[in-house]
Amino acid sequence: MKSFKLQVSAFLLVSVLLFAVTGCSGRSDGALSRSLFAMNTVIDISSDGITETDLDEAAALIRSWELIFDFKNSESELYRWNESAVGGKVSREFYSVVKTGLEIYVLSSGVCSGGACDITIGALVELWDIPNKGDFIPDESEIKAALALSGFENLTIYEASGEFFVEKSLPELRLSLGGIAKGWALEQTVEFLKSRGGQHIMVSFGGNIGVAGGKSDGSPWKIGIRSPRPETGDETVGCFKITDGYIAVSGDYERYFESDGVRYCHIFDPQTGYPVTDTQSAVVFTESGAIGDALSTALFVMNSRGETPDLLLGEQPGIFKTAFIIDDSGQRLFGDEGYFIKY
Amino acid sequence: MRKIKPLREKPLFGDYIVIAAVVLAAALSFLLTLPGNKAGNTVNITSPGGVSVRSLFEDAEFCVEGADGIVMTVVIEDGSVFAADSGCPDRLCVNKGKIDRPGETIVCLPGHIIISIGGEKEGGDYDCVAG
Repeated sequence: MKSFKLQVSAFLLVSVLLFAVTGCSGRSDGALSRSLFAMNTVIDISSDGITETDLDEAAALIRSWELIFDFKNSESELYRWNESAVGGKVSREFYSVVKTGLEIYVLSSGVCSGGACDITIGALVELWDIPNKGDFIPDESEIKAALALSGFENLTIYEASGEFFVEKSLPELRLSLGGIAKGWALEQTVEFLKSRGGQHIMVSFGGNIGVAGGKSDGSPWKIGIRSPRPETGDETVGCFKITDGYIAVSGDYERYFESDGVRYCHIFDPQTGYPVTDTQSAVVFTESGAIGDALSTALFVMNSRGETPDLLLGEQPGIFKTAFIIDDSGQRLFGDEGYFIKY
Repeated sequence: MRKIKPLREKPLFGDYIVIAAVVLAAALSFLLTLPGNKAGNTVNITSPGGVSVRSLFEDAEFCVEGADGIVMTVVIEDGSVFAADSGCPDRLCVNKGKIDRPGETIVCLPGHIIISIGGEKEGGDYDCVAG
């Protein structure tokens, strides 16, 4: 009897120790997963109910989108559109991203001092080219010249007989789709996995997350939000608990340079032509990945002008569920606060 | 009236062993998960050449070959790791500086290299982190 109890004790001891050493947060429910570098970011896909072939197809789809939206690749659709004088017929994917950009531009134009997310500022984005040019700050005249080559009034988009068109009246106008294309691709990837019978899906496109169907045990996903300043505190500032939807983040902490104590990040105010310098992070929870990506950029810019996310909710209820803004003055939550746990 | 007799009047020697073992196990598991105890932490290096794992507590300097001929020089020093140099154009990996906490990553997108710290995460039990 004693030796039996000793065996039980030993078993308990080993079990607890094993749990302590290996208890981590990775998925252990048998879901298939894959990581790949594409669209200038790291992509992680995981889902129950799919096969390796489905993952292969998802990766091939992502590669095909990369070939549409890579503005530095002379073979890409975006590159060719930017180089062309008048634009013209485009792919459904290209049209979809441009259309989302236009919708969010119009929405933000309606409630604040000028559109806050503008995909027509490609010339400006390429002029600064943050962070690839080091601490390069263009002359005021160069910035004005680049801004003069932007503007939605120079863009016409329409569908005709099942074909899609994006045309420009200004030959030098260049599109910058980096603020939307990844969120769009994220949403398309989640939808693709769903169409293949995927369940308990989680996809990450470089920090933008899409989930569908909750976790295998029926509980919601817990998605931590990275602190924009981990050097002065915790690695995360809180977390979302959601079953379905998209978390998009625009932050000033990855692509930036500093000059004279000022941080110049890769997100521009299309009204001034300068990077936004007083928002640290704009996080938004939406039902659409493409809209979420565009909105996080718009909210990032709006915050620097003192314009809050609830202005957009007033204009279009339900455009997002929850927004979380971090700047030098602190952290603020908007919309439905029940999804977010703040630390 | 029938008197209900307890199964056992006094704890047996074996009971004490079980209790002692559970208390010891609980104490050990607590100590193992305390912040600061990072004995199990690793440096995981993912590159086009595959995945390799090193200890976070064995100082080292080595090169990782990435895509497009990009080579990253990685230094493990005093329980932290950083990209000392890289042939990539944007050098975001070098600018990232030192990382020392489980779950933190250094990513070189042009070189397709990910340096991450593995081990028990402190505080957060997330499914993933956005941002």
